[in-house]
Amino acid sequence: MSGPLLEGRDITVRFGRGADAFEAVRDASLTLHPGEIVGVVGESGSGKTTLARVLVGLQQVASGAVFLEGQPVVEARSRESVPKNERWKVQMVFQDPYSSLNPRMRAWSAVAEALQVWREMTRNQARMEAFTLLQSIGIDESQARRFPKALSGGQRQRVSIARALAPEPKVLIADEPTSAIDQSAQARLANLLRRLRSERNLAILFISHDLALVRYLTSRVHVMRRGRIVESGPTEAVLRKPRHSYTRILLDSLPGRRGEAISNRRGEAISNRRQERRFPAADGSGGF
Amino acid sequence: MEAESPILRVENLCIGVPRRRRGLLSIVDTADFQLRRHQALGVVGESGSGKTMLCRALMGTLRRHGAGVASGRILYRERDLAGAGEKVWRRIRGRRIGYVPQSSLAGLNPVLTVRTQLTEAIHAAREASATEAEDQALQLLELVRIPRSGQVLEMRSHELSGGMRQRVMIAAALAQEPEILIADEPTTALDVTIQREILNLINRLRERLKMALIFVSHDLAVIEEVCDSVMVMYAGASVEIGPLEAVVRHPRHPYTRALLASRVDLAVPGEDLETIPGDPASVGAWPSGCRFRPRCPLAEDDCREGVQPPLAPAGLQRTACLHHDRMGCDP
Amino acid sequence: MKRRPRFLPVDLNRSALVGAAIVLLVIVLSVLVPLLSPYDPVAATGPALAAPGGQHLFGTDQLGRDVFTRTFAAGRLDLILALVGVSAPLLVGTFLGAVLGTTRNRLVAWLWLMVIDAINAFPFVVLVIAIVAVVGPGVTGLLIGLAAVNWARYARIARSRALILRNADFVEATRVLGYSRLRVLVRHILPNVYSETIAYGLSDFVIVVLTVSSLSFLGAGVNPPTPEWGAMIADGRLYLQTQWWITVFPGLALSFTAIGVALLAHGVSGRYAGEK
Repeated sequence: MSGPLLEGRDITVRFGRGADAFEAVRDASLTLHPGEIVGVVGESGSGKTTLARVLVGLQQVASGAVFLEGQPVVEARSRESVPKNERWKVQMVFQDPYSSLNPRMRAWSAVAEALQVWREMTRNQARMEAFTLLQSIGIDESQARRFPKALSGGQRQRVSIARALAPEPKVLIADEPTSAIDQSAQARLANLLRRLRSERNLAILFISHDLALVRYLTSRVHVMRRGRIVESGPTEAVLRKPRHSYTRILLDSLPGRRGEAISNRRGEAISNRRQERRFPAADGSGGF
Repeated sequence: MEAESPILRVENLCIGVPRRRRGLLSIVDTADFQLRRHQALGVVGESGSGKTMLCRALMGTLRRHGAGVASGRILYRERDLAGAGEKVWRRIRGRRIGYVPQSSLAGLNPVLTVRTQLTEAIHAAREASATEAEDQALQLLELVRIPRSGQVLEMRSHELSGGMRQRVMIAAALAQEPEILIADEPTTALDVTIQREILNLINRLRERLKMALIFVSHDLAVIEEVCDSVMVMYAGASVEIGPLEAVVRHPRHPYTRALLASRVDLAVPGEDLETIPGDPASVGAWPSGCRFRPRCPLAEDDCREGVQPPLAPAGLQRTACLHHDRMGCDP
Repeated sequence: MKRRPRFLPVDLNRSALVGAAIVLLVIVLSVLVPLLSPYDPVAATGPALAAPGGQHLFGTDQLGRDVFTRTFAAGRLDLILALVGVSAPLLVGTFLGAVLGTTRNRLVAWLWLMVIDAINAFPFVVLVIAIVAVVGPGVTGLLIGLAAVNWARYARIARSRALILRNADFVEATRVLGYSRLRVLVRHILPNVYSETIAYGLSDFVIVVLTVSSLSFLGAGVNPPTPEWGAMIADGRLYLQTQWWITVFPGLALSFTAIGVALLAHGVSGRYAGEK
């Protein structure tokens, strides 16, 4: 496979008209190849979610296009976005695990439905396969029989991933999948995404505001700010030697030892700062 | 030394919600810590660990949420507040113990201006004329580094950005010059750059006003930024407490260690992150004995017995683990 | 808005339990009494205007008919009328509303919305009377009138709910998954819309029972001699000061049922709204 699996070219998304028009995304381009995880980093309002929605065909573009395996699937003024029979190829995991599952559908049933639609399975086959798929990402049978409200955030997020994987897609767009769940569940999800990449040769677009996670998961990264991609490149390079001032600000803002791990020079500065702040009473002598 | 006597002591605090017929549903039990002047205590735990309920207990607002103190003591300057009524709490809340809620629209009244809400808080603290109160409101906004404070005074919460809103809420909490400031996930919904500003602000304020701080967060990295000691909560119980450096460098509870090991900021790309097997114990379904036992690599038969083990000294900190001596020293 | 229960609540609270008990009692009596009673509800079976006593538990009316038998025979009719009068509009209105809330054909949606708003703008009873006047009074006329007006209420509730659902993440997910629109409507939108309209349907039940009775009271409902609470109350009102039993017993039965259903509705919708 020579060309990219998924390519967004000069994507611009505009909300509103006339004087009130506001460009949520402007001239954003990115590519995804099989078996790679690419990161998109940015703060709220940077347009990263809008960009994700464009790539899965949920959002129309003002200009620019999305190519799937070389074929244009989203273009300006096209009414119907991604052709129906192609839709299984690009799937999405949403940010909020509390709203991305139908509250009246048991976990297994949400997965089985996708299997029935795309993999031409009978009801029973789909049911068995759904349990197997859920099992493989750490949802056991009793949990699979529950309604979403009886599952934790991390478990729900894994159910949504199973649902997205059911059509055996080639690309997974993950829009802040870890931001609403606990830290230990985050780690589990990060491991899962890495496993999916290597086992299924899946291309993953990982959208996040968490630079530490992006550093850990991705090989290339795009930094977005106010609808524009301000810096792109190999993740290590971008985070070690940020060229755009905004990337540097983002790095400096990381709390705790996150900065240290990414750039040691900066890390020392942080721990020095912390030393100065320390109150003498906190020498750990008593009180605990 | 005066600084050494704790201003707040929480002893074996248990919080429950009464249930029809089936008695009390425990949400927090054996929360146990003390707070000295100028100390900044971080409280870290995942959802369902009981950290928000603990804040409510310290603010005396449990009853509003249908809960209550089941046993244990909350000693503020040697005075037990655990069973105190609304009348007592009204003198403590805000004046002695300030509160910064989660950064959301809910913290500020949407129909009132910043001026109204700040002067209200000031009037609650002391006798002040309208102009005095307004002067102080302006000073407070400057204290939390809000530019163009005169303009901001006339704004309502929807006109403020998330970071500004949080600053105003901090200003409101400081209006009565509390001795202790409780901040419940004050930066969780904010962008990292804004979070950085708020954390810096909290640090500066704490130094300047010599307050004690209780900072609740699910994120250890954030706690590292503002706190000098930390309490780790799991399933409603304090499992480890101690100086921040000691806990982070030499955790004495397997849960703390697992939490540290699952941190992505210290992970090496290409290697799997460590995860905690199983799912968090949910309220009402806590296992017998040590609550972390079903997920714990060190668990033995004696962990199964009785109730959640109490905190016991270990190194510089205190831990609830019976087998902490078998833990390696590094996270 | 914390948690949504399953299709219908399994654990009913106290208000719902008391309500359910009352409604069940009314249903059982309405079924059994006409079957077991020695009297014909529409024929004179004793002296006119006899006071309640051993022979006639609730006395007799001005035509000598047994009020006890008639009250519960009326209950059967009223309950069936209300059941049909609620469930038909519920089904039709929910479906239509859900379709309108999700369709992309703006013109059609706009036209339907005009119709719905026009119907909802009229006072409920007035419009039902107008339709009954055209169709002709009687059970059929009453049902047509109720259904023709009531669906619009359900449609409006269903539409606004569907509009919210349309942008919910789990519905967006179905678009990404390329599900057919029919599948999305039937499997994802409707089940979540129904939970809302069913909760409304329970409180609507009271309104419909009262509407049926008031229409019959006004003479625009069930034809005599068919027993019906409203009609019975209308019949007895001339004798209210002397032969109170003709009016009071059907009146009590009506109030009792209304209170029972209201309690049930309150309890159940309380569950839906997530309050304790």
